[in-house]
Amino acid sequence: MIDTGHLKLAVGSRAARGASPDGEGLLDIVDLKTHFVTPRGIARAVDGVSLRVRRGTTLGIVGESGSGKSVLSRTIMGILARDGSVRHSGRIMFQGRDLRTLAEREMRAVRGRDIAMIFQDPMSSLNPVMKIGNQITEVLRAHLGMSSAAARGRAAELLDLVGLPDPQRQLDRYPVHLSGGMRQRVAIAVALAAEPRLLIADEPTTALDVTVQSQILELLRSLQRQRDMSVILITHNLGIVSGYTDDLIVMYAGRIVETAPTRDLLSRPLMPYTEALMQSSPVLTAPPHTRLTAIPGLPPSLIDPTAGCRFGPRCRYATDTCRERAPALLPDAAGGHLYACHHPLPVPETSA
Amino acid sequence: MNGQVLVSVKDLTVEYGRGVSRFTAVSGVSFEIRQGETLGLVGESGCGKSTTGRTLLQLQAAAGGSVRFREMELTKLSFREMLPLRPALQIVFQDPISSLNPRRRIGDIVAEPLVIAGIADRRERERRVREALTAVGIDADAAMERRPHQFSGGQCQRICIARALVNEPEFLVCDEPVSSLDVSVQAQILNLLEDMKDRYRLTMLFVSHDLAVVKNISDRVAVMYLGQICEIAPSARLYEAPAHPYTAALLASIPEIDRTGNGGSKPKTLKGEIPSPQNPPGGCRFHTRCPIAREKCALETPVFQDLKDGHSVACHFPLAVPASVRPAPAIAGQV
Repeated sequence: MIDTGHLKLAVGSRAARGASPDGEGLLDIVDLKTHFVTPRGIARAVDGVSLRVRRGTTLGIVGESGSGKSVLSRTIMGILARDGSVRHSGRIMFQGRDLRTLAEREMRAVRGRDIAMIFQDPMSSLNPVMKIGNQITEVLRAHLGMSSAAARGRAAELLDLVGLPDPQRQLDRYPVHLSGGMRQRVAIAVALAAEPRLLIADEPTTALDVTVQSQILELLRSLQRQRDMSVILITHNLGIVSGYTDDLIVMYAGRIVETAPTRDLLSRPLMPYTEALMQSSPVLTAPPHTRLTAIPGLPPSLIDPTAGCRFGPRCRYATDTCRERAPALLPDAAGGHLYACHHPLPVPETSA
Repeated sequence: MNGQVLVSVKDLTVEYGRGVSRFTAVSGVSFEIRQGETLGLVGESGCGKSTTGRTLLQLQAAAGGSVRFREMELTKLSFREMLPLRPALQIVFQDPISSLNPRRRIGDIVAEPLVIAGIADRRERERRVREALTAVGIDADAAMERRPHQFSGGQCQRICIARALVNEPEFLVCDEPVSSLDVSVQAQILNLLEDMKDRYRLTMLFVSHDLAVVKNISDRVAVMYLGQICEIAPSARLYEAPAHPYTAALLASIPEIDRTGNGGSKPKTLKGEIPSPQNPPGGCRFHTRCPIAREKCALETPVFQDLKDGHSVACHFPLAVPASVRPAPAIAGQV
C-alpha cells in the first residue's frame, strides 16, 4: 500500500458527488492516488483526487504541466505501467464497477468499448502503417463482433460523421496522407466506433491550428450531444474550457484546487491559483504592451512537495497558515463550488 | 515609433525542395521594421512566418527579393561576409531545450557568441555572461557550472534569451518563443522580452501563431497566409478593425475565457483547412475558404491597398470599406 500522506481528504464523498448533486454520475473517482516510484523518491503525480463525471456532460480539467491531469486520465484508462513502478490507491467507479479491481483481460473489454480516449498528437495514436479503414474496423470487430463487410460500411459512416470528405476512398489511405486536423478526425472516429459512454480527450486540439481547433471542438460537442456521451476534456487552455465544458476542475501539483460548474468557476474564481492562471493569459481585448500578471516561481516538485498549501510559495496572498497547513477542498456556502484555500478571493459584487 | 527603418524586406521569396517537389514557401513578402519597433508576424502552420524570420537572418537562403539591414543587402552576402554582422542579428527559437547543447555548461553556452565574435579575454567574457544571465533573471553564480537538464523549460528559455542578448544585438527574431511554455511561465517570458527590449534598445520580429500573444507584444502586426502577407496594421487597429476576411476569421476562432458567467460567445468556425503550400490556389490564396469570396477572387490576385494610418490589406473586398460597396448578403452571419 502507498503512504496516504498527512492529509485525509475530508471532502471525499461530497467532492465525489461533484458540482451538481442532482446529476447522475457515470464515473465516480474517490480519493485516487497515482504515485510513481523513481530513483529520486516517490513522485505524487495524482495525490488524492475525487471527482464525478455526470452522464451526457463535459467535464473540463485544466492545469499546467506537472499538475497531474494527464496522469489522471491514463490512470482511468488503466494504461500506465503494471511493473510495480506505479502505485495506486482509491476507487474509480464506472457503471457500478471499480475499474482498479478489474483484471487486465476485463479492462480490455472496457477500454475502447465503454471508455475511449483521444490524444494530443493524432499521429501517435494512429498506426502509421495501417490503412485508416482497418484501424476503425479493428475496433468494430473486436468490441462489437461485426463482420468484415458490415464493419467496413460502418467505418465509412463514421468517417462521414467526423467530416472526412469522400469517406469510401479514405478507408484505403494511410494516416500520412492526411493533415493534422483530418488525422484528429480519424482518431475521433476510431474512439467513437464502439459507441463509448465516456470519451477522454487529452489536449485534443493543442497540436492543431486555431481555425482547425474550433472545428474539432465543435465536432466533439455535436457528437457528444447526439450520443448523450460524457466527455472529459483535458487542456491547459482556459478559453477552450470556457466554451466547451459544463463542469470544471482546476488541478495543481497533483490535487484539485477548485471545482464548480464552468460558468460559476470562471466568473467567480475563489482559489488564487485559478485567478492567477486567468490573469496570466494575454487577452485579445487588452491594448498592446499590457503588462501581464505572471505567476512567479515554478510549479513545486512532486517528489518532495512543500508542506502546507502547494501553491503557497507562489501565491500573493499566502500567510503563515498556508505554509503550515494544507487547505482541504471544501464547498462554499451554496455547496456547488469547492475550493482548497485558507484565504478565498472575495466574490465580486456584481455576481454576488 | 518614428525611428529609422532598420530592416527592410522587399518581394522576398523563399523556395524549398528540388525538381518536382520544389515549392515556394514565401512568395513576395515586403515589410519594414523601424528602430525600436516590434513587428508581430502571425499565421497558421505552413504560412511561411518562421521561414520569413529565418531568412531575414540569412539562416535560410532567399530565392529572390531583398533583405536590407542598415542599408546593407544581406541576401548577397556570403557566409563569411555575414559573420561580422551576426552579433547584431540574433534569434530565439520555440523549443528552448533542444536549442541548448545538453552536454555543455550554461556558462559556456552563453559565452559561445562572444567566442565567435572574437572576444578573447576570458574575464571579459565571463563578466558579460554574468550580466546577461542576471538580466534575464537567472542566478549567475548558481547557473554557470550547471547543464541545461537541471533547468525547467521556462528557465531554459531565459538562458536562450541571455545567449541571444550577450552580444548586445540590434535586431532580435523571436520564433514562437513562448509556444512550448505553460501559461504562467509564458507571461514571465513575455514580460521579460518587453524589459529586455527597453534595456538593450532592441528591434524585434516576433513570430507566433497565437494572436493574443502577438497583440500583447507588438507595435504592428502582419498576418500571413500561404506564403503571403494579407494584412498589416498597427496592433490595436488590426484587432479592432480587421480588413481582411482571414484576419477576421482568425480572431473569431479564438476561444476566449468568459468571465461574466453569461455563457459568452462561441468561436466561429472557418470552413476547410489550409491548402497545401505546394499547390496554392490561384487568385486570392484565401478564396477557397473565404466566406465572402466572389468570382473575381478566384481569378485575380489582390494587390496591397493602403486604408489609412499604416493599415494595408490585400483583398478585393476588404471589410473596412463602407457597407454599400460590400456584397452585403454574403457577410451576414459569417465570420
